[in-house]
Parts: sequence; C-alpha cells; structure tokens
Amino acid sequence: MNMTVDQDWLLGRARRAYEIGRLLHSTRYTWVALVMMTSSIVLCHEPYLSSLLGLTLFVLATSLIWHGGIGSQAAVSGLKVGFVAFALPVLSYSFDLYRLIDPYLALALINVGSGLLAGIVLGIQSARLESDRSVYVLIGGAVAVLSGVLGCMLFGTFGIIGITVGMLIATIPVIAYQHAHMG
Amino acid sequence: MDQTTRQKASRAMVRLANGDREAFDTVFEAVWPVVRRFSAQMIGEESMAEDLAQQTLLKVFSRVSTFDRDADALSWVLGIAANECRTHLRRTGRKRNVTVPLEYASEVPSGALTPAEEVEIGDLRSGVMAVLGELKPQELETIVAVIYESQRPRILPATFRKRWQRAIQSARDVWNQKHEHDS
Repeated sequence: MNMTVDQDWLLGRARRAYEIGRLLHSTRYTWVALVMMTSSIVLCHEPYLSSLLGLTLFVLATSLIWHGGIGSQAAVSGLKVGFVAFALPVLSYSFDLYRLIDPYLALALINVGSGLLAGIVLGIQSARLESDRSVYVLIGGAVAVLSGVLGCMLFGTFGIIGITVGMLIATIPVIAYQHAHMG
Repeated sequence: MDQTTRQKASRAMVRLANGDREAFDTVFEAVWPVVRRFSAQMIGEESMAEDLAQQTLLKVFSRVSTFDRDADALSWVLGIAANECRTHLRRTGRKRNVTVPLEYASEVPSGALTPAEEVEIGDLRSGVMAVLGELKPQELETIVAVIYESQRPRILPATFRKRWQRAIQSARDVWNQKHEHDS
C-alpha cells in the first residue's frame, strides 16, 4: 500500500461506504413493508395490486430514509403507525370482529378509524418538531396510508377509501393550522 | 484534540447521521487523522496500520447512521478503531506486542524520569493498551469517556456507573489473565 494515501481517492471510498451504509440502514426499517406486502398478497387475493402498492411503499420508504432529514423521520414514523393501520383491519377481519356490530358501521370504524388513528399520532409527533411539520405530516401520512391500504384492501374499495378518508380528516386540519400559523 | 474540536466533530457526526451530506468533509477531516494515528501507534507496522486505518475509516462511515446522537464521536470512532486493531492482532497472533497511542494518554515531560523508569512506564502502557484492545467497544467507550472527561452518553448516572464498574472489572480480568504467568 502506498504510504501517501491519495486523500481524494479515500474520500470517494468513504462517501460510497457512507451511502451504502445508509441504504442498508434504511432497509432495517423498510423490511416490514415487504412483510406487509406478502401478507396482503396472501390475504387479499389481489396479488398485482398488493405487489404494486407494497413495492411502491418499500422503494418510497427506503429512498426517504436513505436520503435523510425530515423525510427520513417522517417515513420511519409513517411505517410504524402504518403498520398499526395495517394490523387493525387484518386482525378484525381474521377474528371476525367486524361482524359483532352492524357490518357497515364496523367497516367504517375499522378503516376510517385506522386512518384517523395514524393521522392523529403523526399530528402529535409533528408538534415536537421545530420546523417542516407539514412536510412531516404529508410524507408520514403518505407512507402510513400506503401501509394501511395493504391491510384495508381486505374490505375492497371501501377499505381503501375508508383509510384514505380517515387520514385526510386527521391530517388536513393539522396541516392547515400549521400553514396558517407558521407560514 | 481539544474539547471544542471534539464537540464540533460530535455535532458534525450527528448531522451526517441524520443524512446531512454537507457535514461529510468536516467529519472526514476530524476522524481520518485520529484513526490514522491510533492505528499506527497501536499496530506499529506502518503499512499494516495504514490499511487498518482505511478499513476503520470505511467502517466508521458505513455505520454513521447508527451513531448514538448523544454519544461522543471520538470515543465511538476509537471504539471501532480499537476493535479493528484487536481483530487484526488476534488474527496475526500478536497479543502483547503493541505500543501506546501516546496521543490519548497523559504525557510525562521528557527528562523527568530515569531511563529505567521510562522503560517501566513504557511496559506498563503497553500492558494497558493490550488490555484495552481486548475490551468490548462499549467498555472501551466508557473508559475513554471517563479518562478523557469527554461527553458521556445520555444515560442515568447509576447506569453509567454500572457500565464503568463492568468495564473496569473486564479490564482487571483481562489484565490478570495476561499476567497470571508473570507472577
């Protein structure tokens, strides 16, 4: 090895190591998207749609976490709350919980409720940030909806619309409030 | 490296861990000389030390995303460097033939000691460094944090005390193991 190390060469290698390290680090969070996608394919009988949404979620979340900054924080939170929004409809479907009360009311509660819950948690988390709260809620919301939709697909189009509506109800006031007060 | 520079390096490391690529050069400039000196003084053999320093540098940058935001960057980097050197020494079967990273130890003014005392202190330092090289990265970080009064991880003081006691106990055990045949 040449003792006078070419600093630029080493800097280039360090940069590559950093980027590869970040990419691998991001998959430590996003593997859960692949698990949700696989579960969705098995449970929802819509393999193409599940694969498309699952892969989109995986690529989007991995890119955001790899890139870093507020997008990374939002994607990690979005995946966490999105996993809950995914699990709620799956569990209620698996254990027939939605049959306990009026089915339409139950479907609305489960799907819209999942979206609402995820949106509220993201809104509360965004309050801790000093800046970019709206961006955090928007990105986190998008990731959470994509995750939740993989589960809500069990209830068909109604489920997909339900979780999206729930998320919008929870996040639009938060974004509007922050936009009005923070500029 | 003085306290201000260490804090600056830690702040840059946190920024880089969060995905701020603009902090890359600052971290590189802070870390590379330290890693290079540490490896050179721990390994002795110049070309091998250079290889190990580069290997350590790449490992540091690939793991930046996992850096504990409350920890001291230099302690963390030295933990990785010590681990790399220890692995190399184990692989090559060299256990006690290590020299002292004087940069990180308090210096005795030259001429203040007799030649015999200098040899004795040199042996002692070599022994200490060999012991440190055997410790786990977290134990080494704890010892480095205490000795150089660097920023401690944000954990409860009682937890840190326990960590410190465990690290010292491990160091004692390694020391006794290494010197049981000497006595």
